[in-house]
Amino acid sequence: MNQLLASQFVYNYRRNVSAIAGSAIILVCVLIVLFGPLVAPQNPYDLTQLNLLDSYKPPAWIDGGDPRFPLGTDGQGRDVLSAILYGTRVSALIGIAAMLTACAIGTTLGLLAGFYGGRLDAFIMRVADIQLSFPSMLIALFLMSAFGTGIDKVLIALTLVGWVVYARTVRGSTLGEIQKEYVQAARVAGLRDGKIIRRHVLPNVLTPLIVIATVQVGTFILIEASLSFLGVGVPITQPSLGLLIKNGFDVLFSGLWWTSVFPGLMIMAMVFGINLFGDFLRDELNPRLK
Amino acid sequence: MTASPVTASSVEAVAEAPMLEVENLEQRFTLRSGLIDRLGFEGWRPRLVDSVVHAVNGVSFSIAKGEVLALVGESGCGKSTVAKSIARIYTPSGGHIRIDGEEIGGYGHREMLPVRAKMQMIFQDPFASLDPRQKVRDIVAEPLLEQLERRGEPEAKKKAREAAIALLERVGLNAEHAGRYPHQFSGGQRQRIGIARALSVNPGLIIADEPVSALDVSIQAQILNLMMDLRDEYGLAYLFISHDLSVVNHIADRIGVMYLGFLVETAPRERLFAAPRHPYTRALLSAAPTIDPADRAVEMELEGEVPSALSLPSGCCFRTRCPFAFDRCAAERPRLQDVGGGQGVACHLVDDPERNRP
Amino acid sequence: MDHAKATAPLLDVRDLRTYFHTFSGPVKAVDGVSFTLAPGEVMGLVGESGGGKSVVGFSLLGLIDPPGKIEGGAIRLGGEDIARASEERLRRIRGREIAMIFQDPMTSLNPVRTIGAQMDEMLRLHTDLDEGARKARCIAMLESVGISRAAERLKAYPHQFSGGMRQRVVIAIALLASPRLIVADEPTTALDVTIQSQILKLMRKRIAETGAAMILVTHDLAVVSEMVDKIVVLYCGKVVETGPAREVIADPSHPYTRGLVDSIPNPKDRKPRLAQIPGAVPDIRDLPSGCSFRPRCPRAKARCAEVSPTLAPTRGALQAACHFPLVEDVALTGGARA
Repeated sequence: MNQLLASQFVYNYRRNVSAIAGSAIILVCVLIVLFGPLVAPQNPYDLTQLNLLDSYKPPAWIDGGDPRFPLGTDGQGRDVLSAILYGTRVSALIGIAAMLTACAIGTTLGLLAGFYGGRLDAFIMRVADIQLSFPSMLIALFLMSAFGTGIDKVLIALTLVGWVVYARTVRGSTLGEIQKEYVQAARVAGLRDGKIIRRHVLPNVLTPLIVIATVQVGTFILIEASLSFLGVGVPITQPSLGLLIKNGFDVLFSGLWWTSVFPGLMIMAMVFGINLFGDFLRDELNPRLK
Repeated sequence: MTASPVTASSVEAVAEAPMLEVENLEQRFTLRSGLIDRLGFEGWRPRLVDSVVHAVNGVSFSIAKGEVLALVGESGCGKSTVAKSIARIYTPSGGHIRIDGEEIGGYGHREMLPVRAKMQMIFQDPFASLDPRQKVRDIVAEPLLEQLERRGEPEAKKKAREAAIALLERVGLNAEHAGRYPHQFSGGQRQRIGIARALSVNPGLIIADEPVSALDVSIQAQILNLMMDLRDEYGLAYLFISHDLSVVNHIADRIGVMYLGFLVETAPRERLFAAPRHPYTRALLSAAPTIDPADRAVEMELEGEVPSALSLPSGCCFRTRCPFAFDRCAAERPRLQDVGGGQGVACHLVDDPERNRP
Repeated sequence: MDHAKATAPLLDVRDLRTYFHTFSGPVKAVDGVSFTLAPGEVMGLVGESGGGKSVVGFSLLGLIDPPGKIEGGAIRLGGEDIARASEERLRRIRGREIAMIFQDPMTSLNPVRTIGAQMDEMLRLHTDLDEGARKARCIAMLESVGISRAAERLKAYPHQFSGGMRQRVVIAIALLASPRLIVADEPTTALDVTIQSQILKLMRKRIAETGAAMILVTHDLAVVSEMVDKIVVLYCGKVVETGPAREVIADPSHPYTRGLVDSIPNPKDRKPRLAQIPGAVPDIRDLPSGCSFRPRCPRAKARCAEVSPTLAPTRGALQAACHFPLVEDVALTGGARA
């Protein structure tokens, strides 16, 4: 059955154009994250490599463009392509790291709430409900203005915004799983609660999280970009794509569009790819749609 | 080793402690619903009301070593709850449970662990009772592994896995199956895996909660035969929970009939089928379909359905459906009384045989 | 079959094949099933899970959804082949000509509509009675299935009924439009014994009164033996044995039916060990060559692996698909086998 499922999964994947496109985009992004700095024409944050004389060069195919800077340069003569390659790395890593911490914290709280029920459950879920009643952007903004800027602060803010969805999902699946006889069998075998949760419940509630986690990386990238755009995100020394957009935004309407538009397209492509693939996973892993 | 003279196995007659002794077991569940659902009014004053399910209401019985006691009854009669309270999946609300003479009613997790080596359980649903993400050898080894780790034995995992493979062979699977996952097996094979898991600690008592009711008839026979062979081989006692009278008739030495959380009748198998005394037992026996047309002696037909365990009827639990019910039945709850021959009946008709006519 | 010839059959199923097309190839859930049903006759369709009995039931009502498809054969209801009928025609047939009773009454009752509305809809679709007459009919029908205070209960929702009561409502709805055939798929499997016996008794009585024919799909031989006139035994999508109920159960001629009957514990003849059929039902996507039952059959010989047996008369009114059926000299052949 597992083999059947695995091969059915592959079979459906190969017939799903948007899933293939999505995963191709994701693959490109992963390659950028891994090897971006190696292939970048320059290190955009090494001031010695920058020359103010190169500032605001348009993309190479436009009159006045310079073949050294395929996507043009910004006001400090920084190569936009290199900045994007570096910035994608920052954005993607923040998205993934925040997803992992949010997932770990949310899953743990969801397991505890679902397994033990009672007051602990009521408390965790009420906190989650309250948090869900605020727009996540608003919470993130509030937290960032309270903590100050910095990559670590962004991570904390995103984690606090993102754990709820895992907690709720995991709690729901846990409630279903602990009714099943294999959990009772583990009790009869003499396992402690902690062991039952880790060895039996956890592996059985993970599947729906794959979809959530995938899509959430995209959401986080967007939130981080918004925060950085508003100036409360990452520091200027480690610019993410959002910060690149902000930096170019001031001159966007003076015709120097390339400094903002290319980072924006990169974010769009990345999130689009993640969502395409996430939708495919959702259809495949959700037994109710079968 | 097999059927010892079970009819004489009333508690005093047996010198050694019975494998399992249950006394006045009670199990209530509070339905924990949301605040709004629990909100009730007393006049104008709001107050929180919990609804309590009276699942088991003072059940007593004992099982001798090597004996098979079957609890029968319809859904909601509390038979599975009795099983799970004894296995300490639930914490009993009241009464005593003694395993091999040891009172376990108030035991916590740590104290229960050694007891789990004497008592194991087989579950109803062959698909839900095995963790889909575990390999078969780890499923079977799990109870033994806990015991070995408790005793601090070296190489516990290796020993438990080796034992698991031997057990798989004993229940009719083989060593190659050990590395597979549960979904690669049929229902009957999965139930064999569940049996191997229960056997791994070499228990004296196995609680079997509807172990064959999810299986096809031809597979059902295989599993029943296996269970009987194992009983002969290891001297196992079974607490066998079932709703199927023909299965119970095949496997049990003694039978207890439950209704709405009460034990209404208990008797040695032959006696129960030949001379049932409680009106509910009689109705149950006559309602069971048989493939032999000659057996079709419709003695009694029941009207209506089982009342809710949220609010038990006063007096006798069965009076709302009983064709013989009279005023005493609403006023006084009948107690299980000995009517001789190892048979116990909880019915006022025993004192008033004149009324025992339709 | 012989008595079916005397009167024109109500239902004549010929070589029905229903396949499910999965990506790993077709699953032949029903593979060449034939039977006939006379008006008013009650037939049991029995077998274990995976036998294809429910798929036959669903095929009769045209309720096979993709990837499933009726690949071949004919389902003639009073002369009309409904295997090839349009969805429009099937909608008219369902309820009016053939009604279905499902195992779980919750799946056939709409949880958000009252019982009365659901019953009324059935009559509106299939009769031209006016509103008052429809209501009177609904009340009468509910009362006839043993539901008291019927007029009041029409306003109730399914969840306000217990399992047994719900199944009574389902039976009432099935009988409303006076169908000629009722297909009941495990109608009492979800119910307790005392409730089961009430429902079976009710079905027997009501169906005899209306003169409808019934196909009872079940795994439970005991239920079948109490209810039906004739039995069709399915194994791996094929009919392995058919005949009058009494004969099939008392003395079957196919080794599979024999094994099935023997594996039920018999209170009168209590043996220390039950007779058991070894092994398990094979994967329907990967059936053995020749006879599907061969790997589990104590009488299998070389021929069984080569030629797939077809249904042929064996003894009395029984027909079985077996090269070596259990005939009179069963003890002799059984003993001589080696």
